[in-house]
Amino acid sequence: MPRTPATHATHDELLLARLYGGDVDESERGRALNQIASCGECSDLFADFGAIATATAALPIPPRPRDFKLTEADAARVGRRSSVWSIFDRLGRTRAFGGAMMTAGLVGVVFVGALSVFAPGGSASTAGAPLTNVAAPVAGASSPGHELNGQKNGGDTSVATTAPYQVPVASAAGAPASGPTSASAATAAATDQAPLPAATTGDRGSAAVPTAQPAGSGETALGPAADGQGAYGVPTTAPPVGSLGGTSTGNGPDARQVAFAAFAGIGILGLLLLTMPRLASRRRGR
Amino acid sequence: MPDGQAVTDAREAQVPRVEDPGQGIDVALVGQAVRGELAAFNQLVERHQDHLFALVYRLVPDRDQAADAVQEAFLSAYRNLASFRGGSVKSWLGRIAINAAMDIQRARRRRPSQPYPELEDESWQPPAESDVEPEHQALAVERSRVLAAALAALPFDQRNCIVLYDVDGYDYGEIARIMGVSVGTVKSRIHRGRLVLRNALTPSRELFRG
Repeated sequence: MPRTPATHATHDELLLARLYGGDVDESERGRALNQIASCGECSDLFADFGAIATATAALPIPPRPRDFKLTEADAARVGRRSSVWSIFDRLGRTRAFGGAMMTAGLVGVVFVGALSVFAPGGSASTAGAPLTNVAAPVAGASSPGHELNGQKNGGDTSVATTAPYQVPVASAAGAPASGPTSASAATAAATDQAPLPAATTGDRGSAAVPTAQPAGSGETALGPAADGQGAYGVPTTAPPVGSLGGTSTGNGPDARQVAFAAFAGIGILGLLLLTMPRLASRRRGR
Repeated sequence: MPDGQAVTDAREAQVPRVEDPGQGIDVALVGQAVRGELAAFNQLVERHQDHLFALVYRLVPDRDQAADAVQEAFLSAYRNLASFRGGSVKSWLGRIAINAAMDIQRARRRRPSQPYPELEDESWQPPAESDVEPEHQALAVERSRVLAAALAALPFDQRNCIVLYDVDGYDYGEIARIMGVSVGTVKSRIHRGRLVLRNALTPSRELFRG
């Protein structure tokens, strides 16, 4: 048999391992056998696979150090399955599932959050209302009525409701710096309608409104504000606050809040599934 | 010149797939144990503890840790008797024991500061056979020591697959089910592990020939 160590470096050793494991098709088998026949190193390698496997199977096993029979105490201990911890322990196999759930929840929360920041107007921005409206009351907590109007009526077709809705989106996305300075102009009309603090109306009536509006809907939405009716002229055309809940049916602006909460819940549940079995195991002293 | 098919066939001949004649007894014992008879379960333990210890010892090459894994496997089996869906009790217990062994391996990997005794347990040596020459006996001991050290140095995923395939005779599909990975992954681990093992043993190649 020719020994050709110089060319052996180019030979596929993994192919020989696959041949030994019976994991080759016919063409590969032919190539591997040809390799063995033509290369002494490959022939030795293949022979070694067999020798090592045989030796591995023949490795001596020491006598077991003890008897593994269960005592009554063992049986009683492992038989305790009624506690809350044992329920989580039973879910031990679902750790991977818990991890997946936590990841999905986290991704969902980030996605929904990102939508609220980057989503353009229209129905997409409608869905973004809850997050921006969550922030808005912080700056203007004294305007619940307007918040509700803007939020609940943030629909697709209402001219009066689109404007107040779009404004918070714009201010949340990029207008914080200009908010206070542009507040005075935008609040002129707004303060006619409601006793909003200047800072609050400034945030909501940011001059960033025109740039944030999508083409078409932006012009329409700005109508009420531009002609002096004020963004918060909404109450004159919108239903009373008490009936706003009904306006959100179908395309409810709470959709994103619901999605956010759902993803957060999924994430928390996943975290529980991931961690509780381990805690249960530690309590059990494993 | 070794032939691939011949070697594969030889392996299959070495690991005969014989139905366990005691399977009926095992299933009956499981049934009694499910009804709360601890003695029946302990009969199962008695029937399988040697096999399981041998199996786990190959995967967790430390006697104490292997014993802990086997004990944990029997506790787990007792706890989950109701989940036994028939078939081979031996295989069922084997899967539980392998999972327990892998749990121990993972725990050890997470805590690398703990010393790993590997296979340097000099306190035990295989019993000498009376008709074997001392020289051959010494050679066998040295071969086992070197091989065990090389096995212990393998990544445990590769070691598990090789041991389950070469020693315990599981096929690719069974190993994939036990380890929760694809058949392709199992094949890859075995083939690559085999190469790593051979390269590690190259300096001691003479021990494995003839």
